[in-house]
Amino acid sequence: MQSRKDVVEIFSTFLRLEADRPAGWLVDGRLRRRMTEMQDLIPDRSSRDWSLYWHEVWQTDQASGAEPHLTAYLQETCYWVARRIATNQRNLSWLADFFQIAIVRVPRLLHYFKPEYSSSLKKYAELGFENSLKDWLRVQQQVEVCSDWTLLHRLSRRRLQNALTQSGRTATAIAQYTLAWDCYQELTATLKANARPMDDTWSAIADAYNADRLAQVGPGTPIATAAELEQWLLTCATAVRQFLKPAILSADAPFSDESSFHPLDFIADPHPSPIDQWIIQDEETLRSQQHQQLQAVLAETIASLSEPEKNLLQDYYSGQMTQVDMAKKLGIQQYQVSRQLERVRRSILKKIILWVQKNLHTSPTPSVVESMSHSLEVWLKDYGRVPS
Amino acid sequence: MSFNRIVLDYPSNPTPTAASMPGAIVRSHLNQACTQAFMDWVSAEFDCSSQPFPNAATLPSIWEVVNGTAVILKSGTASLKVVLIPTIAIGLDELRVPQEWIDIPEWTADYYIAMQTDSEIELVGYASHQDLKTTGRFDPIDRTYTLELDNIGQDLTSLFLSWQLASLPITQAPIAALPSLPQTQAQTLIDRLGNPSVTFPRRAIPFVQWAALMSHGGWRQQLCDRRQGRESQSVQTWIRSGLFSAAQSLGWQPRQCSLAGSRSLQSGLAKPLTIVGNPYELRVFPLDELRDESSAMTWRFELRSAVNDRIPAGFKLRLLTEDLQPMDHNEDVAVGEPETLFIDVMLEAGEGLVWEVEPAAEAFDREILRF
Repeated sequence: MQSRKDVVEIFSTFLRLEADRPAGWLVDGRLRRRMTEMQDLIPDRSSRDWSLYWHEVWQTDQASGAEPHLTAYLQETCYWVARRIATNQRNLSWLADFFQIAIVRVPRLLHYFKPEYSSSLKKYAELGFENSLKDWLRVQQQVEVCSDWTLLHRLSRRRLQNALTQSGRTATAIAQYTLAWDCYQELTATLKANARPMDDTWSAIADAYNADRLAQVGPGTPIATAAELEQWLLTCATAVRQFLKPAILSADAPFSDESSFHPLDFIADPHPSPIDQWIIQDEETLRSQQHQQLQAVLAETIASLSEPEKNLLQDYYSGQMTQVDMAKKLGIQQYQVSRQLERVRRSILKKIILWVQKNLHTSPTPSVVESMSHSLEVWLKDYGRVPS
Repeated sequence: MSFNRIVLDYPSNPTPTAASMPGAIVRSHLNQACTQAFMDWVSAEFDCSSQPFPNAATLPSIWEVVNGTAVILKSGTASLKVVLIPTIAIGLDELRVPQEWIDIPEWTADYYIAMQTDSEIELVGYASHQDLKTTGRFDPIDRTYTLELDNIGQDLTSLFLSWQLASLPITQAPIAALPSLPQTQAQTLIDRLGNPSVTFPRRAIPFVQWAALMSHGGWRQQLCDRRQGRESQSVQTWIRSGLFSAAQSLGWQPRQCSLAGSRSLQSGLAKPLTIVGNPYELRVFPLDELRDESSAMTWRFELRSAVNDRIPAGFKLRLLTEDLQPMDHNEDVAVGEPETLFIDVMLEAGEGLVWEVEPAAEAFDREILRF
């Protein structure tokens, strides 16, 4: 697949994928017009700097229409992650699905990305896309080994109701099924086998449902038999499995040609005035200084770790060893490796927080710390790639 | 998407649970395991102490009917109250907090933590009381406040690091005070909800009444006993039988007690208390010989220090009715530094009352003693 080179294209086109391969770029006319105008004002700005600009616009106002520009910017990044993971899974036909699953994470990525700590939105997003796909795969694997009866236990109320909504049930039916599910959950235990509950348990579930149906579904709700309840619950399990398949995930990425453009809320296009430009340039200079300083703090912190701690980081972040491998090498348990890694990470994070607190005067509230923690992950991955 | 998963090991040695139905058994095991794993982790990694709230002995009475466990963390002078919300759901997509933890004044916490379990236990998200109360969606059927996991913080290290660095915003949204419940109404409700054929007691009555039952440790324990098929036992039964495990699990031990200046010993009960960091003992014993169980008797409630013979000035010992109304001559205040505080009270068979001390004892939860 050809990477895009032209700045306007990078911020206004979206990848079209067939199941296992890219099939061209779709242009969003409105985004392209806007980028063309903006590029005319500031012709020499790099795409990286444009990404930071749009991110800043987004942070100021999430409804400003900056997000689709950034989603466009991240198309290749997302593609390469999706491709890598589909290859690992030995199933390239999942490529388009993986792309969709990952690309919807863009808003959350934008929320936690902080240019003060991270110089590259692409690198940050790459890690974010990768993690979201790993999470998704983990969920799929767990769901696959469940019988319907176990799956019904290992379900959140929200997912149940979303799945039923998506499968087209009416609100009343959803209320009935949810109460049936509540009774199932309270009257059976997942700690026992994966098997179908016994008939006398089904009677108890029916009794419980019928006792509560008028209060919890609504007046006039008919009595349900044990057989009906069992059917409803099997329907729920099927709906949930269907819901969790990638084809159903909402493709929020707006990509279309001009005529079938997905409507978004735009406010007046932000045109940078010359003064804005100078301020932006000053900020860019300041920011790159800050990044260099942060990098120095990070390098110093890592240098001052003990040899075993450095090796731990190297082994893990090189991507070559799993925690299980590391545990074998060190002759300890896997959870101990996990705990030690956590501690080393946390000590580095703390040093960075204190530096940022002192030099950037930022109070380490949880979301600030979470942003820094994410950035640290990106840095450590880079660190791991370089042999010590 | 988790940039840095925090995964905990299951603790070994689960305590056996007694619960009225399978859902409650799962709830108890789940909360027990997650609470222990969390406390072990947070104390080791963030250099703080952790205690369940109100106290460990009373948690089963909560888990019988509702999900969640409150834990208080202390580090130096800083303290933080969190409620753990564990689940066995795969790929958790929400933080769903039962209304009890948001709208009962004694139960509210600073932060609420979603925990997901599989072969391991994972900390997956957190939100503040304010977030849940003001922006959470309230589900009137299962009486919970929920937030989507995608929209809340997911890195628990960040939460606790921020706390350690004294930069954690702690805001609880204002909630209404709850009206109290008269004794007879409470008993009627406990009779009704104590029947395990009521599948969801917490949904069966208006929330304000449920909240009043839940926030009174004695009533909550009664409800739990009833649903789990245990008779509430009287103090006389405990003394006569030399104490069953039920009493001991509530912290009471047998004790031979005597009146000052008297040689004769009466069989009574004692409970260790910690008040303002110092050890004390609350003793309950009859002033008359135990006769048949149906007659009225005089009982003494006595507070004494476990290390010396002084009660600090201003301390109070107080008795209240089951529904927390004051009783005549129900209070003894330490004037100067007396040896003990005591209250003598004549009680009919079957009568119950509640005791309390001021300042409050640590890990205190109300209990009803029945005579």
